[in-house]
Parts: sequence; C-alpha cells; structure tokens
Amino acid sequence: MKKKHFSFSESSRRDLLRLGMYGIGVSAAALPMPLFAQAVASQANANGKILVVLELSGGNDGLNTLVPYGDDAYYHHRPNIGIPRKEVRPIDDHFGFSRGMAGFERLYKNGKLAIVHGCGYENPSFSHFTSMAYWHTAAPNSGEQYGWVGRLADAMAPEAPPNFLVNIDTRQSLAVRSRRHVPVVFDDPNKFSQDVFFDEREALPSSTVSEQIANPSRRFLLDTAQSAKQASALVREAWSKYHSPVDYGVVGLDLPKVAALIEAGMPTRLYYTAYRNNAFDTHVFQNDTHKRLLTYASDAVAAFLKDLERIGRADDVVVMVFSEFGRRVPENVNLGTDHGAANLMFVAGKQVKGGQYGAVPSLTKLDVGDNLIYQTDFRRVYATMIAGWLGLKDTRPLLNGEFEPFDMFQRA
Amino acid sequence: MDISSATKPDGKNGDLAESNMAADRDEDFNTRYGSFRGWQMAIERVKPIPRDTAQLNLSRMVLDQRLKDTTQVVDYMIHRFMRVPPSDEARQKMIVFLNKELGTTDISVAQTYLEDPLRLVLHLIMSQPEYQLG
Repeated sequence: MKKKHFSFSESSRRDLLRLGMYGIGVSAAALPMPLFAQAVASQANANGKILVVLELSGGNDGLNTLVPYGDDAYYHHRPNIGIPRKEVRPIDDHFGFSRGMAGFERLYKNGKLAIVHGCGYENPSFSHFTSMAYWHTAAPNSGEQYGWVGRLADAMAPEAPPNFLVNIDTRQSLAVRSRRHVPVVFDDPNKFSQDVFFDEREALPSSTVSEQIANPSRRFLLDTAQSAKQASALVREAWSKYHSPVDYGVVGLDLPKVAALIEAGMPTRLYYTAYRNNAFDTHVFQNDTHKRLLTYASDAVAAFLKDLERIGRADDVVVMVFSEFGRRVPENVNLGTDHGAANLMFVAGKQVKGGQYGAVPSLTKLDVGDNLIYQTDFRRVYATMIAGWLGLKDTRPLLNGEFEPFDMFQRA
Repeated sequence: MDISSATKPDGKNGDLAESNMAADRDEDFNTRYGSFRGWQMAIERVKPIPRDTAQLNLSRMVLDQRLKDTTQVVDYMIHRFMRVPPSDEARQKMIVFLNKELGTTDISVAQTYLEDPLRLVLHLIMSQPEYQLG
C-alpha cells in the first residue's frame, strides 16, 4: 500500500512559516507564572548555591574506577583487566581508587567527596543514546520534552533571567533544554562571537527583541540570538581575565571555564558540561586508556575545587559527576568491558559530607546479563542536589516521583 | 634541557596535577610531549581542502530583475533567500549598509562594482536568526 505523505508546496510552506505554525515551542514570555512556581523560585533564589554537572560520556567503568579490591569476585570476573590491589589507592579495606585518581583520593580523604554506589534505574537500557536521554531527562523508560537541568532552571527562576543556565559543549545537551530559559551554550570562549567583517558590524540587527512576535519559531531563534549576543561578551571578558595558578592537568575538561565565569560573577546557578565524545566507552584494551581518562577527570575536578577556594567561592559550589551506565561486570575477550547497568555517582564540594552513600551492589548476584543490579535510583541523587543543595523542597514535579534526598551537605 | 622540564606547564604554582606529575615521572612516555606530537602528526596528515568563493553571480541576478535602487535590491534578496523576513530594523540596516558600500542608491550607476557589496548583503542575510527558518 502506498504511504500517504504530507507535502507542502513552496507557497504553502512559506505561509506556514510566516504564520508560525512550522516549528516548536511556546513563547516563554507568554506563559503566566503559577503561584507555586513563584514560591519555589523564592526558595531557590534565597539559597544562592551553584550546581555543576559533569557527564562522563560513554559509560564509565565504575568497577575499575573505585576498585572493590577486597572482593575476590571482582578478580574472578576480571582476571586480566582487574586492577591488582597493590596498584589501587585504597580509601578503606574494601575499595580503592584507580591509580591515577590522586585528586579524588585527596578529596575523599579530606571529606569533600561523596561516592554514591549502585546508581541506576529499572529495566536499564544498554544504548548510549537511550540511557543518556533517560539521565538527561530524569525520565527512565518514558519521555520528557525538557531536560532535568532545564526543568530545574524553570522551577528556580520562572522569570528566566539571562545567563542562569550555562552548557559548555559543542552543542546543547538535552539535559539543559528548558521551557522558559535559553541556555548559554558555548565551547571555546574566544570564539563565542558572531563572525562578521568589520564593515558589517553596524549592520547587524540589535540584540533586543522588542516587537511582538507571533511566530514561536522566530521568537525562539531571536531569543537564542539575543541570549548568545548578551552572554558572549561576558564570557569572552571573563575568560580573558581568568588566570589561575591551579594546575588542572593535561585535560582540564571545561571546568576552568566554569571557574572563570564564577570568578567573573556571572549570575549562573546551573552549569552543565561533559567529558565528551563517548570517551569512556572502553570496549577494547581498556586499562591504560581508562586509567588516563580517570586521571584527567579526577585532576580536573580536584583542581576546580582548589580554584574555587582561591576565588573564595568554594562554599557555594558542588560538582555532581555521572555516566549514562556502568560496564558489564565480567571483562570481554578484547580486554575491555561492554555496556552495563548500575554505576557510581560522585558529588564533590567543600560543603559535601564526604563518604559513601547507598548500598553496594553485589558482585555475585548479578542480573541475567551479568550486570550490577542497581540499588539507588539515580534520581535520588538528583533530588539530593535539588533539595539538599539548591534548596527546592518539593522535587516531585521535577523528577516525576518521590525520591528521598541523601543527607549529604554540611549546611542546609 | 630534558623533555620533562621543557614541557612543564607555565604559570602553575603549588602542587601539579597527577597527570602532569605522571608525565614527569615517566620519561619513556611524556604525556604532554605525546599529546603535542600526536597533534603535530595529525596536522601533517591533513589534506588542505581547496576553498573558493561561492560560484554565484548576484549582480546578474539583480540586474536581470531590473531593480532600480538599493531598497528594491534588499527587498528582492530578502524575498529570494529568506522564508521569514527579518525585522524592519534589520531590513533598514541592510539598506543603509548597501547604500554605504555602493556610495549611491542608484543601481544603474553601480553596475560595475555591484558584486562584492551584494555578497556582503547576502552574508548579512545569512547572519539573521530568521535565516535558519529556511
């Protein structure tokens, strides 16, 4: 049977575009702010804390990150790639960090790093794309139009002030997609500007969107252009003035850029960044590569906290680190590991009550696919960030469920 | 000077990060030098892509339409290249820009040097947020 396709002629498509029926979104400015949103926003604004989310893309192997060297089952599952106990950095008589993670070891021993064991969700997906989308939206095995950080921004600041939400990457993450906010998205601060010839500068449209715009797609594009234009000057200035004596290591990730913006006094409360390019997808000969990746990530996070101390903002910031899934418990024939399920999450900051949270998944009672069985819904950690750190008491509307936050911070 | 000293990061006080200390400890494979050398080798293997200006004849396009002045030209180009027109402010700015580039509003007297200014106007059109609604 022939499928029926809708097709627009050039003129009708043009008409639709003019009328604004082709595209997405609802004008944020047109939405009234409900009373409950105002109440939530006032809670969050009074708090003034900053959350930085760091995504380790590719599915970090949690078992070779925090090695359960005290468990023989670990070495049984990983006879070739298991990290020998003499090579780990022990934090207790059961667990030790991978050799290069001096930064995390130092943070943990100084009581500034929380480790949450066994994070995951029911019916885990082994697809990077799908699982990451679940983590981005905080909606496993269902759907959400907006990301959880975007929804959080909407709840914290429904009036959507500029520069509230920053995503440092080459493209916008689903996690920061917001109904009301236009996230500031950039990669290289030095290139965060509109590239035009000198003569053209005067001829560019102004950044203010003054007129009433009925077309929601056009409104969205103008808002985005306005946001980029306003933020880019601030970002470039902040980056040009930022000179830190702190060593972020060989790969600083994007955390020096976050430190630069915080030092410059950007009003941003939510930062989202990633160790990009599926870096942690270690299927083959993983040990050397994985050790380096962990060293770089650990160096960067530890240096970031040290940098925050330098600029006097260490009490105001926490970093949450996650990956879309862990790796399968047994090693594969290529001396790597395949996509798994439950994994560790980390929360680092001066105000963090360091230690280990959540139940540790068993290495002998695995699921049918030889994966760790999750013990803590990852949204419980999100709830900890939202309620415990940022001060929004009711996380249910944001996370579509009740998740009890961990008592993870020094001050409420 | 040895390779570790030569590749030490500048301007860093206090403790070095583990990855930089590892680079110093391991003379067989200095990560910093390895990264640099890898980048250098990648650059050496890059095959330059020849780049030419776009093969367009905007002057011919405008002259064929028998447009008389810069306002007509800008309006024609907006209609030709955009699905959703820009704001009136943006349109006015493009007209002023073209007037300035040509030194006249009369297209007939600017026929011989029309192409470059028109390309700049096209670049401005492509720089409008609304251009993405194409």
